[in-house]
Order: sequence, then C-alpha cells, then structure tokens
Amino acid sequence: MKYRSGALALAMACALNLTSGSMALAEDTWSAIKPAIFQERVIHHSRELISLEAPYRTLDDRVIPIKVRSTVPSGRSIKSLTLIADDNPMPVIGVFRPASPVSKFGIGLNIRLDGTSNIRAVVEADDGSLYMTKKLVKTSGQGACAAPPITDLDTIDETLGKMAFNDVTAKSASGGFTSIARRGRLKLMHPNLTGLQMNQITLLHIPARYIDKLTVWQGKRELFSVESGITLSENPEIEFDYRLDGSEDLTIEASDTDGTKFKSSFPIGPAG
Amino acid sequence: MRRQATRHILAAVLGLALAVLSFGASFAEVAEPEGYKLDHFRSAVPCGLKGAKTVGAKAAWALWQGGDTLFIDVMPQAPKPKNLPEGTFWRERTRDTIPGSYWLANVGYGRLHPDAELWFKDKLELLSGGNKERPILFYCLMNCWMSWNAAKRALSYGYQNVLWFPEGTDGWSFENYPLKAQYPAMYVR
Repeated sequence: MKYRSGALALAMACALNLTSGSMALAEDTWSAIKPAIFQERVIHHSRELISLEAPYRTLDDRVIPIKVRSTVPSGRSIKSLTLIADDNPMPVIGVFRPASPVSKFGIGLNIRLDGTSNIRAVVEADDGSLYMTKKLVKTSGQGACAAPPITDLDTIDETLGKMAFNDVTAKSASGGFTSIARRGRLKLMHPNLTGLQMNQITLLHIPARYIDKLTVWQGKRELFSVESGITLSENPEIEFDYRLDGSEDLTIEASDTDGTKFKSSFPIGPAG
Repeated sequence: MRRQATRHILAAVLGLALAVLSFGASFAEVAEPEGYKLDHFRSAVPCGLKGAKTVGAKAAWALWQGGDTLFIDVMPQAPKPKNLPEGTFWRERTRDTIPGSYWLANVGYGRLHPDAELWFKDKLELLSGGNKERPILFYCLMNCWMSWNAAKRALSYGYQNVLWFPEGTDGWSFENYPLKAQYPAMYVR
C-alpha cells in the first residue's frame, strides 16, 4: 500500500512540477519581450473584448489555426490588432491595421511555433489604450521554425505569389446569407522562409524570405493591412471579415522581404 | 467506505500502470547506429555509446562537483538570419544549462558542414587545452540524439575520456540540481 500511494504521489508531483515550471517560464518571456513591443504602456487584460481561439495542443506545429475576434469599449474604434507568439525567435506574428474606424475586427491565421508558447492578441483603441488576451499553446515538438520547407525551392517560381480566395461565410439553415456580412479566406503561395531552415544538401541555412506586408482592398477602399513575420505558416492563409458595399472585387497586394510584389483580384459580387 | 475502496483501486491501477510503463521501456532497447543518427533526433536513444562512458544524473552531479570534467551542452539553436529587414524585433533565446557548461549549439546534427565541424574541433581543443585525456561530458535533453552524435564525434577526434549524459537537463533538473540561463555559441557562416 505504501508503495502504491508513493507512486501516485510521485506521478502527481511530476505533473505539478512540469505545469508550474512551464507557466513561470512563459511569463518570464513576456516580461522580457513586452518592453520591446509596447514599452512601458499599461495593458488591460480582457477576455470580454477579445476572444482568441487556438488549439490546446497542436497537431502540426507548422500549421496551427488561430482565430481572433476583437472589439473595444463603446464609442471607441480599433487602431490595430497585434498578435504575438512569446517564445518564437521573432515574437510578433503580425500587426493588423483596419484602414477605417471599426468597432469590431476579426481575423484567422495559420501560424507555426518553434515550441510551446503563449499566444497573445493585443488590441489598441483609438485613444491609445491597450487590451489583451492570451492562450498557452502546447506544441508537438517538431520545432517548426527550423522544419524544412514543404515547397520544392527549385521550382518555386511556378507558384510564388499565386493567390486563392474563398467566401467562407456561414450560411443560414436554408442555405442563404442572412446579411451583407461576409468572411473570406485568402491563401497565398509563398514558402515564407524563416532563415532558420537548413538546406539538407549544402548543410547551410536557407536565407530568410517572407511576406512582410499585405494589404486588402475592397473596390477602391482599403480594408486593412498587416505587417507580418516568419511566424505566418508556409503558404499563409488569412481569414477576414468584410461587408458587401457594392464593390465588385477584392484586391490583395503583398510584398516579401526580397522586395518581390504580388497582386491579385477576386470578384465578390454586388451587394445582396 | 466504498469511496475509500475506489481510491485504493485507483491507486493500485496507477501504480501498476507506472510499473508496466517503466518495465516496457527497459525492454525496448535501441541499437546503436553504425554512423551518426541523421534524423528523428527526439526519439528513444540507445543505452550507451561504444567507446564512451554513459552516466546518469547522480554520477553527472558527482563529476560536476569534482570540477575536472568539461560539460558541453549541444542543444541546437538556429542563428539569427543575416538578411532580416532593419528594425525587426528578434529575440536571441537563452536556455537553462548546467552551470559552468559550454553551450556549443548545432554540433549534434547527423551531418555537419565542413566548416562547422572545424569550428567544433577547434572549440574542443581550446576548451580541453589540447589534452585528449580531459574528461568531456556531452548532454542536451532526455531522448535526444544530439548529445549522442556529438559525443561520438568527440571520440572520432581522439578524446579518450568521453562521457555521455543521456538524461540531459531533464534528468538534471528532476534531481533539483541547479541550472543557469545561458546564450549559445555556434558556428555562423
């Protein structure tokens, strides 16, 4: 009996030890990187204003779906939404900036993580106040920032910068749309090289080359732009909300760190 | 009464599960590859390394206290890319290593660039003071082949007292031995 309860106590001690260890580590990282991103500014925690969906444990560290819905206190509008992966070498995933004042902003992304990390969404209101929510995402140990690219880099020019766009708006039970609100999903073919990946033949690192700026236009009106880093997955996907306004198309402009520019337009149809 | 019985049964089942798990692990013996381990670095490792002495956490602790053994951490970490746009926020990451260790990152891969291998050789020569009999202990994490590969390389360079500590910092911290955050040294082209 003594042995059994001993084993149980040991198992429990291990579990507790591991949990507290990783939690403490995660917060240490944040206190180290926060000044570089937000200086000494006060950030309010708010699960009410921001919701962040991310898996508790990843299936594939290279392609992790995350979803953010954000709003700001009434009377305010959203200036920016910053997504952060604390423990990635380049912690800022992206800074999204709506082009005109909006009170709500939703985004979905595929990201990659080098290891278990807190993910944060920080919203800046037009009065400069900051609101944040976070979620710990546990990885499966693949070390995705250094994972070899899926794309064959010898034939990259055939697909580089190609885009696909899909309307992924949830439909009503009868199969129709209930309003002019729409959700779109953009897929952009780009290896988004992290600079941490090794060429298995030369045994040298492949230089970084990733999408660092992307802008979405609805007709002639800019919807939002994003400044992004290596945490966006290879062939990144971005989901975003828009409202039909009579414009006939969406245009996406993107550029990468080599200065290559990409542009595509997609018909979205007239307002219902 | 019934509740207590349930608790006893639960404890018994857990105890049994743990016993079976540890028993099973000792059976699944991993053979030493001929050359270096080329992939799947985070997987079960062999019980030893031919030509080297394998040590557990307590033996490593004794060596550490003795002070004669070079401790080399070989945990990989990619260097900061050279062509990042100006102003990009990059965080050079530390790792909690055994105090007094030298963290030589990336020398445990299956294959090394010839210049990276020269760098590793030079480092060992410098740290050992050119003394091939100096005891050198290699580690990274539990179930990580990087330390196995690096120790095997050191043997191939002619070091005669190579020690392999397969449990690495996981086994070390389990015993509550001290760790210290450190930045890596690495070959950068």
